[in-house]
Amino acid sequence: MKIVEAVWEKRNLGVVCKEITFEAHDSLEDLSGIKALVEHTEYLVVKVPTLRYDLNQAIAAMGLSFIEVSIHFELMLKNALLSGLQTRLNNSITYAEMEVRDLELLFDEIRDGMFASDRILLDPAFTSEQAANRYIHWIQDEIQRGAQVYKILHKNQSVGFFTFKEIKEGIYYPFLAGMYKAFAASGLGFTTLRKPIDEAIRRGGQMISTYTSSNNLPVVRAHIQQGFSISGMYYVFIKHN
Amino acid sequence: MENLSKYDQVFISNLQVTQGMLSTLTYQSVPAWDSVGHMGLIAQLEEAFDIMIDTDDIIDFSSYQKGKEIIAKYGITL
Repeated sequence: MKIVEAVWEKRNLGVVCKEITFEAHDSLEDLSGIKALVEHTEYLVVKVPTLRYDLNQAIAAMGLSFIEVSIHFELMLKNALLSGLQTRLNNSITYAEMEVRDLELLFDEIRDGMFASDRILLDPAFTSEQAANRYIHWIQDEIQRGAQVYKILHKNQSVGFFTFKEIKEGIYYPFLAGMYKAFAASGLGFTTLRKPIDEAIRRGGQMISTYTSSNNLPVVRAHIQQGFSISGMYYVFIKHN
Repeated sequence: MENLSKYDQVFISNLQVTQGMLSTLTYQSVPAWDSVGHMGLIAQLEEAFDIMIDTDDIIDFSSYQKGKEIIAKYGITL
């Protein structure tokens, strides 16, 4: 079991937040050690690996609410899949690293509710402004730490974006991606997964590692369709005090 | 009429919808019409009518009704 004081959430959401992640080998007795945290933490997030029904039931009994499954995906780049039609479309779509004005457009899109399946946005205890600020701060922090943000372009018009970060040599983590509102119904959503793959191939990488929420079914389907395999799943519970 | 039936069947088989749902069907109005479903739909329309749909038209193909206008551009009378 790992307990993290999520200090960044104080700035993002204005609440004291702790995140507890259980591992498959943790025992039910470990729960007694977090009783005080469950009762007094302003916003508590608990992640439990799937197949631990005993932990799930015990955590629900402590008053936590289930909110999503966090699905972790991996893709060896040599196993990436695209249909013929997707290949044709992908070849007509380009990408480029963002400049400051591109980031402002991205942040406006986020403020406009880009991430509708986000567990913060779905949580009535938080506002859409808090949810948007959390994403914007996250991107800004990751840029400071060396991550890149790319715009996805169709005929020189920004249609979406993806982020890109090397987490180990040859392993890349596109921690956020999405389509802009005007292109959300364009069918180009697959490029938010494919363009990071193209960039990882261009850099000579071997693998993409990422995760998404079970609340975002289209993105789950897109990962599977492009050859990703599931490397792990966590049930996510929350509690407000 | 034959082409319209063919057009309808592509939607029905790809998106698991009924005939009665077609006239108001739009992208994302059913779970199956997402990015993955869109690619399957367009690919099957191209095969059914032996056409190649331009990128701009694939992007604009946002509803069953809009799709009729787009398909007509390729000389298909529905």
